[in-house]
Amino acid sequence: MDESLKQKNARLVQILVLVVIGMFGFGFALVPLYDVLCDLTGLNGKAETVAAEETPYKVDMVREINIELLTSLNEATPLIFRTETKQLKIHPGEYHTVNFYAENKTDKVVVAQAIPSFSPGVVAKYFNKVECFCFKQQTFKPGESKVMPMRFVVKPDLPKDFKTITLSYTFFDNTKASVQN
Amino acid sequence: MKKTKQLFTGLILFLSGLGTLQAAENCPSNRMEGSVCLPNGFPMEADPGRYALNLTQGQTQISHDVYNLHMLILWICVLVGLGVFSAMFYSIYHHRKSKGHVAKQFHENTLVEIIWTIIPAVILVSMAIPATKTMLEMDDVQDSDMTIKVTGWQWKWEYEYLGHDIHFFSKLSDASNQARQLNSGIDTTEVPNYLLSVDEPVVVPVNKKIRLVFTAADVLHSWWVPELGWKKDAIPGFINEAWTSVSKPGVFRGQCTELCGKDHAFMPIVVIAMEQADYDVWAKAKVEEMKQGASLADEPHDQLVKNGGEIYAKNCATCHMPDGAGIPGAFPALTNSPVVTGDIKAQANLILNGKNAMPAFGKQLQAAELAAVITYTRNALGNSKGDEIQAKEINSMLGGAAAAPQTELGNNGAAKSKSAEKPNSVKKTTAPEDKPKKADKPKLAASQADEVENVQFASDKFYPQKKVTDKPSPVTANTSKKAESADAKGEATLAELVKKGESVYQENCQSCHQPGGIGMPPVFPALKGSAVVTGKIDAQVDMMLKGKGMMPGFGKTLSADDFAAVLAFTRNKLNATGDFKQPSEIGALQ
Amino acid sequence: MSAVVAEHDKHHDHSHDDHDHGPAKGILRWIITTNHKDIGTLYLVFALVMFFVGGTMALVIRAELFEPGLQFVEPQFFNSMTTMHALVMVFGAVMPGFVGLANWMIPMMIGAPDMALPRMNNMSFWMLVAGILLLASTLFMEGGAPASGWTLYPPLVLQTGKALPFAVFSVHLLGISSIMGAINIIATIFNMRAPGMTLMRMPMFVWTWVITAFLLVAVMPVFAGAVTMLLTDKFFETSFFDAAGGGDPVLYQHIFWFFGHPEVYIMILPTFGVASTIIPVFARKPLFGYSSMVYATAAIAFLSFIVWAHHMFTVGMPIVGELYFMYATMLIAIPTAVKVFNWTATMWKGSMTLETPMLFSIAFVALFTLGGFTGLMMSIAPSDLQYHDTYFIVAHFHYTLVPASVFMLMAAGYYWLPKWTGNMYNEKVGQLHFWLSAISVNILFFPQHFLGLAGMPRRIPDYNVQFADWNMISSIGGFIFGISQLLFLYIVIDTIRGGTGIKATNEVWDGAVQYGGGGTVGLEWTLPSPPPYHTFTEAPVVVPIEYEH
Repeated sequence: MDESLKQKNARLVQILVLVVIGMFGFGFALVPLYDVLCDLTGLNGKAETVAAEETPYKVDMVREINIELLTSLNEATPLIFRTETKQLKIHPGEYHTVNFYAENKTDKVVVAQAIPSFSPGVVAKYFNKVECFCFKQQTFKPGESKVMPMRFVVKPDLPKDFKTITLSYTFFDNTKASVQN
Repeated sequence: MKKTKQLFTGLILFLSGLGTLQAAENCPSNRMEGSVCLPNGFPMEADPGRYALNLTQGQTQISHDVYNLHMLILWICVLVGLGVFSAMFYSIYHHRKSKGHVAKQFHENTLVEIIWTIIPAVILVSMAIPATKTMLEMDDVQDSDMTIKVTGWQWKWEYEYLGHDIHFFSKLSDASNQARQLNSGIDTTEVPNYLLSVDEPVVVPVNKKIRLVFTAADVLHSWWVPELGWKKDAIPGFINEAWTSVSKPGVFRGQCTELCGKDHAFMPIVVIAMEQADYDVWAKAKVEEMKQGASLADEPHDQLVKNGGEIYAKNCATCHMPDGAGIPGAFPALTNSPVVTGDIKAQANLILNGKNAMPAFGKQLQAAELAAVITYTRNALGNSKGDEIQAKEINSMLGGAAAAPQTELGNNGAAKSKSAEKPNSVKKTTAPEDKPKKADKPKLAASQADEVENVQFASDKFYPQKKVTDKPSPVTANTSKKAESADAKGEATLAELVKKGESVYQENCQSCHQPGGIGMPPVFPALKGSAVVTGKIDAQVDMMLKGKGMMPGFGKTLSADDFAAVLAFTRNKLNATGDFKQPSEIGALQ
Repeated sequence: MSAVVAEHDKHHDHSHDDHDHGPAKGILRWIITTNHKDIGTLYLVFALVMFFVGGTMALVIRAELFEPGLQFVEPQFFNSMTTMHALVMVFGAVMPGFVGLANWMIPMMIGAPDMALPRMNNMSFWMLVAGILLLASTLFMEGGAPASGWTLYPPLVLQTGKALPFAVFSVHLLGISSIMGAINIIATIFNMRAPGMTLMRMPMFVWTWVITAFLLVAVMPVFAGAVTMLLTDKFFETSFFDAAGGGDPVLYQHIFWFFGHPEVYIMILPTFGVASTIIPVFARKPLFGYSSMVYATAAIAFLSFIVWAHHMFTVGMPIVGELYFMYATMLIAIPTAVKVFNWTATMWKGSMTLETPMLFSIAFVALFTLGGFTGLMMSIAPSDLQYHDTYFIVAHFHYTLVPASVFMLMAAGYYWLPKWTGNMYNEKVGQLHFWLSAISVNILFFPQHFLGLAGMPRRIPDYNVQFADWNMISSIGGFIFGISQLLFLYIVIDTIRGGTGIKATNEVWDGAVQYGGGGTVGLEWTLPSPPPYHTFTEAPVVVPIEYEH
């Protein structure tokens, strides 16, 4: 094998190795890219995890949106979790507060994170929460019960097709992870 | 022929449905599907046959659309296939060397190549148009008449009718479950709807737009009933939705279609569509049943023993050991025990109300579970009394009051956590004013009882964790007449601590160390006169914080207040060292 | 015909021992070898062994599914079998099989003395062995082998016992091995072609492999990334795929299928290449539409990157997503159809003989087309909501893998074995093997279409009695197919040991020199059978071939 071929090979291998490393990185880059995609398309009904400003909107008194609230517990999360309001009719642009109730069934500290999910997924970007227990982990003392408010508005520019919005919260038990940290 | 088959099926249904016989008595049509009585004149299920070739047309508009789409594309494929294959096989037959055919040497023809690129493209467009229409139709979940939330669990489905107080779990039917065990020896052809029948079917009204919202509690699942025309994944933490509108009554069967672990094949789905009036009857009865709590229906003996085995393993085996041998000196053996082999009522009474270290299970388990576990102990673990007790009797022993049903929204309902779900009589609430009314109900029910015990078994250790007395004991009444808030902060006097410590002791320590601190040698040491309790206070605190051997660490489970109180109690009531520690000191150590 | 091969090559073939050492002696030869022919043989033997290992697992599956009820294995072990069968067949049999062919044939096809990076070649083979051994070791671990399907979807895969990190590291090793192999192939094809072997004169097998190699380089690292995330989710408290920490289990599916769909084409493109090489030889006619074949291959490879979510129509994507992935997927039908038309046109007005390699190739075109049709049906999103995760899918991908990839690996075996060994295989046994395989593969997989349409989900160890008869027929087909493959094993061993006693000529197949290449002669057929240990140490000069019009 002559020298020039060796050099050519080495060059090509270098390029290809860079491609491989790049694609390995791309796999990880898909994680934030996916979030961007979710925001843009409402994929999977992922919701914002930070509070929005309470900006006043013009209330659209003509339209009525049916809001359904669901609560779930993942695996054996030792909580009682329910919503005080299962269903409410609202006008876009109007601020509402609904209360959720959660109670620690054990005599140990429970740390749990509520994960929101919307259906249809695309409505997530028209649904602004100014206050939510899902923004951060909730710590429950033994036997503690909490009433947790969630304040929200449906923006008036919600496309006309949507008449029902389902918002689900699932509590995941994060006690183990947070104890270790 | 078909009639004979139906008759035969009916007979099998009757025989295998012994468990539901009780309910079947009240079923005018005598046709039960799981727990659901099919209305009179309900259409017979079509036999799927054993050589089905094609997709079902299904029972909804969507499923018909999908079927038509499927057939359209199938026929296009068949036509294209016929064209390609006939050209190919014509060529293979005729253009052969053995036939003396000489090869032409052409190897490209731009025109032909362009044509056969464009033709498939045109065909594809003609497919895409109806496909897009159907897709858009499927996606339109708005304006539904009712919503059912479906949650996938390993390995069962949970259904919740939103706004209707109907909520239940749906598992593989017992007949199928027995037959599906490895080498069960049961002929699966004799089991009606083998692996496609459940204990609690989903019932829906016909011609109503029903929206289904899907989620999962552990891993991915997928909900598929072929006759509805689609399937949808259930994803933990996220919701998905789909809709259906069934055009005529019938029983429709489906399965989980996303691999979800070992019993993926054993979590079927049964949907029963009924006329609105029949549905209303079912829904009303179901709501009633929810209110009454767990079923008090009689179970066959073998079923009781079987169910009881599971409950025993979860609730009793830690102390009485899986084989019932107990731990001599601490926990009595159940095998050949005079209690277990004696009067069944006496045994039930003991289990319901507890005795010494034995917690009262009356408030922890449901009547049906208690009946099962009592029957189990008498007919397993080396005992063979042959008798049984039914949930109804247990219920009457409990004072007739229905055991508090758990119909809470979001209650995960898993059997394994049942014992932990029962209400406690004392709770700390951070938002007392906003406390919802519903939450008060279980509290009231519980406070009617003099004493509520709640025993949990954590890992392989046995440590009763909660025992609260509302009735003040004479001792504490003498010690201090002043009622103190449980959450009092700041410096506490020894008397206060000792008083409070008594209830903490009863709650956390008494089941093992016994009232009066006499212990249960050799397993649980006496605290009265104990070297630890009368020794250095710091050493005792350390041990209580961290635990030792069977003794659990209470550093994380007790508040500083409670910890200091029980410490003071053990040293000054059970013993007389005169020293104690303030909650603030304990808090610093924690 | 006016093709010319440089003359100085010929005298060299017999004098290589003079100035170049031969293979090392004994077992060491196979461990330290850097010779492309030796490594090709190692890969092929390894693939054949894995084909039988994976096949045995398939037979466990088919035995359990022979009738309803559980007779042989527990459901968890059944799931391990489906998972391991897929991983072993994909990463242990089909991919290494084609890498083996690439090692043997690409240098000989393009007139190169060896692969560009011979030492890396050796390393990538032994990493493959290590990876597969690591994977196999999980079968004996606490909690059993992975049982979450070869797609390893979380959260289920995180419930795997002790085996999870081993499975993940095994995927890493297999990935590194494939990537090294791919880099080597790209470097060989780009830098080592003989003078005159322009890109558009390369045999189709070389073309399909260079495209496959690029797919491998692009997607194997993504898969490695995905399984690494699984590992950190399980052991290092990250939550890429855990909703509790802001992750999403569906994200894994997106990443996986971004790898997974090209991966499917990694297994099928070299298959196309082998078919495009064999069919012209036995039709005694040049390949029809050589350049459109190249473009179609490239188009398929490109499309493979933008259609991944058609594996996920049921996860609940927004409607625009569903429609986009449906349309994009339907597009794949066009280049695939072009390929099928081209193969048919190549046979058209040829002068065909039906030796075993050609029989397998014809069966491939016909049965792959069938698999393609079901693929088209599945691209229609609303219908796929019925087909998804049923036996219809199982039937589809087995049609595109068994009578396609596996058949063409065997066709390649029959086609090149005489070249590799210098001995003709036993044509009678070969034909018997073909007919048994072709018939039983249809008994095995065709009824699975019916099962899926009738409502049988995939990955279940037990089923309702309505599915009993087709399952039994399918299992019978499976056992016949499995046992028939012993004939192939027999033929391979027999041919290596002398076969029928007939020595193969240089050309082996009548017309192989003229039609066995792409835009030039089939170079490998100008070499002796078997070829000497070192070939083309001095590059031949190749000139384009002129066909009559």
